[in-house]
Amino acid sequence: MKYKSQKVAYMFFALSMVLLLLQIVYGFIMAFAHAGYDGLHEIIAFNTATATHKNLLVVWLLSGFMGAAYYIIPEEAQRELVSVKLALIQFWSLAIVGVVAVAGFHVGWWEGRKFLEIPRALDYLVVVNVLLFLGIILVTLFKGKEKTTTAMVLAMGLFFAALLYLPGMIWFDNQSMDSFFRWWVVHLWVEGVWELIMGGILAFLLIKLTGVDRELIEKWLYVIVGLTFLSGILGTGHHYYYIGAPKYWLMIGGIFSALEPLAFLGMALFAFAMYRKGEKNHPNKIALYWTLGTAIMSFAGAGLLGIAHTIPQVNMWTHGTLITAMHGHLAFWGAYAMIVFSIISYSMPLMTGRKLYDKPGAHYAFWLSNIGMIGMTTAFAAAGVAQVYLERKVGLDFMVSQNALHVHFWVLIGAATLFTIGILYYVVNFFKHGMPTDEALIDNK
Amino acid sequence: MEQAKSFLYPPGGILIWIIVLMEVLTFGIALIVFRVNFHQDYDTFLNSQNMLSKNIGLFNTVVLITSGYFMATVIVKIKQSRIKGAIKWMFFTIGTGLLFLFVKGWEYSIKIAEGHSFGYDDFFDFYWMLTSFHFIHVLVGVVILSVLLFKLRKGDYGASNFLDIETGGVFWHMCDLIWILLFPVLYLLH
Repeated sequence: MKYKSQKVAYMFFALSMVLLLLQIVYGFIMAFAHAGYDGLHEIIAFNTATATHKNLLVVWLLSGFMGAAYYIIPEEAQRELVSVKLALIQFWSLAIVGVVAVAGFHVGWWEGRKFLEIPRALDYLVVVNVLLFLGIILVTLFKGKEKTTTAMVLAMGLFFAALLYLPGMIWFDNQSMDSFFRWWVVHLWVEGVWELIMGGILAFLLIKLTGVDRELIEKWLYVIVGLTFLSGILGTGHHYYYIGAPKYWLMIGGIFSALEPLAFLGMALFAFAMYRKGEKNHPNKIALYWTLGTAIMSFAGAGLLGIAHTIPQVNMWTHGTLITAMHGHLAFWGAYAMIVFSIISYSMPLMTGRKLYDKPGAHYAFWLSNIGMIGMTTAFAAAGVAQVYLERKVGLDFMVSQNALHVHFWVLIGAATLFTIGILYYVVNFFKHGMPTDEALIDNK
Repeated sequence: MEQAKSFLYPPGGILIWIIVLMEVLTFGIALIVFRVNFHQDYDTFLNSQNMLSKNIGLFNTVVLITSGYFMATVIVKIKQSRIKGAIKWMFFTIGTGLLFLFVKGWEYSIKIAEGHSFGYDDFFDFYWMLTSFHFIHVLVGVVILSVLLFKLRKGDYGASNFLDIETGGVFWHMCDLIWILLFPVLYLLH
């Protein structure tokens, strides 16, 4: 750690860890409900659980991105954050809004719009919170000594992520129109600007961990950014199938989303090329594992499993089934959860001065969580294919076909248990680092 | 110099070639999808295809290929340090590019007047989407070449410094290339 204010990142990472654990609890509630044991139905109905599960994911990832920005931006800009006090205010307000939103879901305070359930009043608070965050980050960056490509890509990603929250706040009386713009938020985040954030963090980590020239890494970062936008923006079309949007979206969505895996493939090839080129033998191997793991798993989850059901002729059958859950789980894990884990694994030893990366727990965490998640994805895939067949081909009623799928959810619960053990290892390892300390500062000169 | 010949350093820089690859891939997939649809609904597509003016399409093809030749001449001139010649041929390149856009715009207006606008049938959905995406590319190309022309006149480029012009040239040839794919597949092939 080079700057005192980088310590703020710890708070955001810690919040991420806590919310992630909570997210997993809700995942289990739903998995058991799917397997026929919905004992909590009166208190936490399935729709509450699914909204909570997904919103917690978004909030913990955002918290992780914010932590990453607070860690990376000072180091890249070569100056302290403009205000640690404001950053802490931003942290606590984020945490409070998050908790209120989740609690609200349990008493019916929400908008019933998939993924964007947070009620309108809290939306405005989110906007204020994010503006404060952006203010701190951008002012720090522009007052800094350097404006590196890595920092600019990261900042641009965060800025556009904030901007793209707004289409989700426009009011429509028409369901199709509402869905149309709702996807601007959801899709253009995860398949657009979040990839910039991911690319920025990835570039930062590769520079630090492999020792390859910044110039080279940043040049290819441009390529990835270009590929992302070329494919991702019009790729939004793959959400416009069968929701009342005009027919030409079938073609636009099909073609452009077929190109999306190329952006992820590019990112994976890039990461490995840099790793092989690197001569630096960084001691923090586990951070490198997570970084390269991100590149592979995002290509597998977001790229390959995405294209598996993105062609309209396939999507016609799989739309809104467990096939989507298959893709969603590995994509979010591979692309975004793992990049947050990467930056945490890299920065925690530097912030606290405790080098826990050689501990066996750190390795168990990596392998168990990844194997567990692949298992979960496979269980979702099997369940999804069976669901498509029973419900859409044979024509069984929704609940009748769901009852036939119980066995797959026991497989899911088994794999999820493995995954959770891995995550617990990670979280325990995280908190064992203790609080960040000024003693971990290294000399800037 | 050895570096300049390497695979990773093609004329215009590798980034523009990645763009070219992606563009050709995108239009290529779209054209394949178009052909598949054509055969699934042959009569409708053939009927609508016959409503297109092959002469206008052919004229525009010649215009764009000629423009590509002018662009290549710009590169030759600049490599010989003949800046005035390069400027002259750049004017012709942009001029023929604008001619293409004008003729295409005229063709669009005829189609709209006939009622064959976007949404008329599946054939015209493809026609409008593919040609308008291409139209936008040519428009962007004209803007790029205009900026290059402006800088050329300022004296920013010479025989030892012409990477930007090459990059712009690659983009312009890409516009030709895509049109050469679009024209036969959309207008002629059935």
